[in-house]
Amino acid sequence: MKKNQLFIAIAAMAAIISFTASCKKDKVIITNTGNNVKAKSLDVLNMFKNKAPQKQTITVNITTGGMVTGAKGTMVYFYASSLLDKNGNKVTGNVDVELTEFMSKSDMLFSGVTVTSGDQLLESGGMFELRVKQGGQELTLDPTSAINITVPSTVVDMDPMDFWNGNDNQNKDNNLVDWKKVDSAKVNRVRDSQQGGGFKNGFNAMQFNYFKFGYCNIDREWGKFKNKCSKFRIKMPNGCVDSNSTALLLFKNYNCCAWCYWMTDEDRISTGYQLPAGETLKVLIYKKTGPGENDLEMSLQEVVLGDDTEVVFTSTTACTLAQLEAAIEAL
Amino acid sequence: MFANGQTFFQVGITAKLEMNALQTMGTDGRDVRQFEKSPGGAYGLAVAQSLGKRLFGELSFLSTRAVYNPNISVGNTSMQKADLRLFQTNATINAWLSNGNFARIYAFGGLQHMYRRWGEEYYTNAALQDSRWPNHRLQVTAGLGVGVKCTQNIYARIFSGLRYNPVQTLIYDTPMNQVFTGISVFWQWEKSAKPAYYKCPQF
Repeated sequence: MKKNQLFIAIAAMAAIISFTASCKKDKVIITNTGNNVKAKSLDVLNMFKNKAPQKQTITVNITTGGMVTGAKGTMVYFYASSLLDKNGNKVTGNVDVELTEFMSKSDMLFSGVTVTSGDQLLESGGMFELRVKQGGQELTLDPTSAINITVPSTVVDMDPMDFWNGNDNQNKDNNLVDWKKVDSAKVNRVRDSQQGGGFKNGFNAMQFNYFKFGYCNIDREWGKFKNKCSKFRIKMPNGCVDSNSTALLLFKNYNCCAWCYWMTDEDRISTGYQLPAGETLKVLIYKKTGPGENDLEMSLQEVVLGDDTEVVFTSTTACTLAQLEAAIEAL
Repeated sequence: MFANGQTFFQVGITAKLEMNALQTMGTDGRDVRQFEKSPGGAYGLAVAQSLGKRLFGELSFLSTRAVYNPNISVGNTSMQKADLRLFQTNATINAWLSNGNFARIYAFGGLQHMYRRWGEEYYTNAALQDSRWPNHRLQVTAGLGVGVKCTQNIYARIFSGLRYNPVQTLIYDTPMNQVFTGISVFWQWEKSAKPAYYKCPQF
């Protein structure tokens, strides 16, 4: 047996590999059924727009740098000359920092900035939207510089959190943001006895040398590793249809919530996100009964999720918009 | 007769029938399926080298197509199908379990690397997270086979086995994700073992 037979054979195979390698491109084929349009047939977010967290605009002289502190405790430190304009030039002078903080479950539900990532629900440790503008034009962070961000933690325990960036949710439902984990960003969870005010649960501190302004989130995946509820449905009372009613759900023991949507073919409401079995869930439904702002009815149930869970509502109680908002805030 | 006590080197062609398995919930949320109905074929080249009296190693390179039909629904989005063109490299250690003049049973175990050449994933309304078949995947294979001597230099091996994937990254993954069977035909070069060398006795 010749010594070079092996090498000849391998060379022949390498040639065949080259021959069979294809130049065809990967494809993702998405067919739109139109069902997702029905998910927003009740204009939920417009109804609660006055209760949604408001954008705070703070001016910073970026030539010297400075600290921005939001009303709910988020702190952003900009280093001197750390921003670039759309042409890549260093920005000087005053810039407008636009900061919106989404900390509580009601903040999330009123704004639609919930904790949805793909088909998963996350647990939020604090979310915010951060944009910086000068003369109306959006600016970016100079990659040779850095930015420091400190966010009050919305959860008591000190389990690790990750940093996430938000994109538009392609599901087109009332959960507006699809979160993507930024693996390179390290979130330092900090707590000490001197903290007060907004930092009673500790805080999440981060320093970035690359940062994409927009929706930002300190979250963790909590339900992904639990047993999944294979089917979840909400049966609404008689008279409820997709154009007049909807439901929201939130977890009793986790800072996690989401809007639901109608499955008109089943005449049920469900969620597009995986739910962990064994966890306690609060489900709130409401119905618009007329054109007036206060023509509303609502009902609330607390359930423990099983493998196959159907939450049945048989009636609703009349309420005003303020009462409904107060009920959501109290959940 | 099989070449006991000889070293051999083989080059051949191989073809496999692969039954790809998946595990997911059906659209009714209850139907758990373990095996996908649509089989896939694989073909390519292989080399083998004896590693001793009982062992031989085998390396094969195959082009394959795998079609999965998960039909996973998450809310108003769903994934219907993944149609993948893959290139697989198998490296196995094989052990003869029996002796015989014309047929011998053997067991094999080893690693399989899958490279995604290209593929198509079909969805309704939106792509589902963790549903794209990765560009590279390393898996474990094991099974049994029979080696048959056809002529002085031509040998065939018929084999069946299982594939195990230790890392579950896809929403339709299952650990034991493939049953396969195949046939390989080899041209063999042999080299007889050297006769024992006897030293002259020293007195």
